[in-house]
Amino acid sequence: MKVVESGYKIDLHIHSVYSCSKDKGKVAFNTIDNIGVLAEKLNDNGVQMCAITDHDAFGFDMYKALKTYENDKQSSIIKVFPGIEFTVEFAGENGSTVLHVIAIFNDEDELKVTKIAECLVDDNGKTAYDKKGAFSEEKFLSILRIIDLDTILIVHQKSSLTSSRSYKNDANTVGKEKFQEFVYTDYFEAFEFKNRKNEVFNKSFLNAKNLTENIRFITGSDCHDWSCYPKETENDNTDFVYTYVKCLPCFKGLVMAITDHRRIKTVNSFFNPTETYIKSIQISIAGAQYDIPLSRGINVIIGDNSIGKSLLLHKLTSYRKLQEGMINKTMVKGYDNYLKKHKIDVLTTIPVSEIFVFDMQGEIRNKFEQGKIKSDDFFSQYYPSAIKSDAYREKIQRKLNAIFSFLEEKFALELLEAQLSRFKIIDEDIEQAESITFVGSVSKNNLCVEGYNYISSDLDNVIQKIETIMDSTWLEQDDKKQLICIIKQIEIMSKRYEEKNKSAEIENKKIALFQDAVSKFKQKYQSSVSDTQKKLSTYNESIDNAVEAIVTIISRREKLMVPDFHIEKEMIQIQTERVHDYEFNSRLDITEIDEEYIEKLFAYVMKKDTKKSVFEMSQDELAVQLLRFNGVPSEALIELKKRIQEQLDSDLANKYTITQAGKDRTQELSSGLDAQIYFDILSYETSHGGMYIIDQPEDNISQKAIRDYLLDRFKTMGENRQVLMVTHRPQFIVNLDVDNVIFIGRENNKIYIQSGALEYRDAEYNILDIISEHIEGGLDTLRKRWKRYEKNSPI
Amino acid sequence: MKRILQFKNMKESYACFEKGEKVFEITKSNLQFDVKAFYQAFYSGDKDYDDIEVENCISKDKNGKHVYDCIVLLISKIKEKLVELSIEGSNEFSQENDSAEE
Repeated sequence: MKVVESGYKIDLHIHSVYSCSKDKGKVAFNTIDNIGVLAEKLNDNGVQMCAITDHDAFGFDMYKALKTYENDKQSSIIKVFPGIEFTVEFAGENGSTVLHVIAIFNDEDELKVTKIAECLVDDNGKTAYDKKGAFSEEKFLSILRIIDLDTILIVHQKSSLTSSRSYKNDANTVGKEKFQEFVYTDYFEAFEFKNRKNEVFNKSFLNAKNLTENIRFITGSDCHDWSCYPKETENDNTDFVYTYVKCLPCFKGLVMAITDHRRIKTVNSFFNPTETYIKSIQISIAGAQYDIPLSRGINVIIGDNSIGKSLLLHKLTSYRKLQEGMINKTMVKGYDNYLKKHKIDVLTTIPVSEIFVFDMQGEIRNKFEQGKIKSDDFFSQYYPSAIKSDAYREKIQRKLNAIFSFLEEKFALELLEAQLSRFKIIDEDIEQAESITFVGSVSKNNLCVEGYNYISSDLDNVIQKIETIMDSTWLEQDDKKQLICIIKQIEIMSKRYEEKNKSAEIENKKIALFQDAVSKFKQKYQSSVSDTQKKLSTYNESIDNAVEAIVTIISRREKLMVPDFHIEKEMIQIQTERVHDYEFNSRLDITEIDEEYIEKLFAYVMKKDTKKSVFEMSQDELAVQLLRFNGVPSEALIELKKRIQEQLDSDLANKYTITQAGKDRTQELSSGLDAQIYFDILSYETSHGGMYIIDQPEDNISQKAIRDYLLDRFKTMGENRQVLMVTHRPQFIVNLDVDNVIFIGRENNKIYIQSGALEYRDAEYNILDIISEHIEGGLDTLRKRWKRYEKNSPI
Repeated sequence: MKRILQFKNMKESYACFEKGEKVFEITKSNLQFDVKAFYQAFYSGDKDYDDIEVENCISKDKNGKHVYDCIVLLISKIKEKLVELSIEGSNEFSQENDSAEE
């Protein structure tokens, strides 16, 4: 077994008759002769890794007797560890307190294991207690040093950490300060409880105190009578729950599991049982056949630069990135040449249907370049459909049109007023006309033509809109019929205005012809009248023109109604789809339309010191108050309209945002943050199956971000699906506690592959050694992770 | 409400006074009629223009009479035209209603 592919059921707290000095008759049944009973009970309960841990004693023969069942086809047991339950007196602020500490030893050095019992007794063969029925802390540590085996320490914590009452010998009886020392120095690898109910209390305690990373809980049966296993004794009514650990079944695996809370569970749910996965990768290199097993969880490919790690991902996925346009043919040709040169044949292909997402090197950074976040294929599926803003736009536009029309007319009247001319008053009496004079005029009514035209055209637009609604398959038949009736009525109305428009146009044509005729007559008669008559004629014309102009201004002014900004308030709902911690929103920039919004539209384009209402402004004043406007006053209104329209378009354009706890994540775009959202969603995505393939997730993500969230996301992802990752970062291998490491190496220009879980080693290689030698910073990371467990290791 | 203005002879101009305040004048030297100034004096803003009477306070001044006649003519023509328009407008409105009822 090379890769981590399952959780193992453990019980590291079983007593034998060697505990008789403390437990007397309670353990009388647990003799070596009855070891078969224990093995049978363990098998019945499916226990796979176990240890007999007697009080301050170790029976090598008992250990060996149970070990004979290891990997027996008839037995569930695959690993038996040597162990002891030490009675240790710790000095805390409450004085001296005796705790029970279970020590599990590395079983690889059997010679040292044989000598464990000797380390526990004095020259007289008695248990070497230096306290009353207990070891002092110093003595306990010195015994461990003498035993000289890698050790896992597990302390009793039978009562929950939230409980006001503690069991005798529980870790927290030592006093608050000492207990904190235990926690923050990682004195113990785990705390042991037994009662199923305490699991939830302990978890809530850890969450509340933010101690999830500091305290690991496991369970142990503390069985004193094998005939009743897993009960402690016949009278034990505790609702015992087993612990599962995710690791290889070896001491190193157990260490790795017990020091990472994510590898410890009370149900065997480390991997998604419904998720199909690729079981292995077959590769042939220069005639050597490699069948590289893959874990259901996280598999990483490591190796020196340019060894072909990325190539392997592309080849395994049949160069699908070529079809996606992410790599070019030259690159593929280069890859194929490399494979040919090194006689590498990748025999496994991962079908497209079994790939969840493949992020090639640099692709995530590319994905999250500013602006791309919204269009990204992956995110687009989470956004709700866009908000249809047509109705809001229509409402606002209507109000704006009224305001703009008012301003247009107001300014036009201002212009007409400015254009009112002068004429000379006739200063002589002209009693009688000598010939015909032409007075008065008829004007074309263009406004009327325009007005009818707008109405007709708007009515046609309404018909188009209704027809669009009628195209919807969701529209009910009754409503459809009603809409057909409405269309007919609107068509009649539109036709009527069309006809009015035509009549007005005809009238205007007639007026034009008449004006032309009068003008010609005028020219003809002007040439044949006296100067006096001309003077009178000009004077009369001036009077008529003045009357005409003033009447026009008055009558248009009377029709001019000062509008307001009032508009009926309407809320615009944000459409939200919740995905994991995030809300994917379709929204407009505004959440309501009302009078205030219309005012803001105008305020937005005006200078800040503008006090006067736009309705009271002259054209010149508008030109001055319009922000960053250098044009002539006659263009100010056009510019105002344009800018307000732009603002309106922007406000009413659908926007996609991602919020988290009310905070808009898209407002603070950075590739790192985007990547965080991306990985968050990827890790919790369970609706789409398949393997997640990623080439160097560390790209463009800070070390801090990797530590703070990314490792956790990958751990979650590893529980949901199979992950295949190329990385150079030791954190992604060691801190992620990956389930399988695939190393591609080169020696004498020959490429080879070695693989296995972090804890894996065989006669040829040791995965941890490979990491420390080939990954930059790998040794340091291993040291930090490994702390004191590898006392005998060169690292 | 009826507005009454006084047309007076000043040293260099003929002027219209309303409530004692000079609102419009025509220079004697050129007799130029400024239509814009006339509009602003008689019709702009909220001014009531339905019934305007200009009292001629000048006698035996030929040019003064011409100016006065011009002002009065304009006022009367404007009034006449506005009435015309309002009748046209009301006719149009009733026609619209008739056709809608049809």
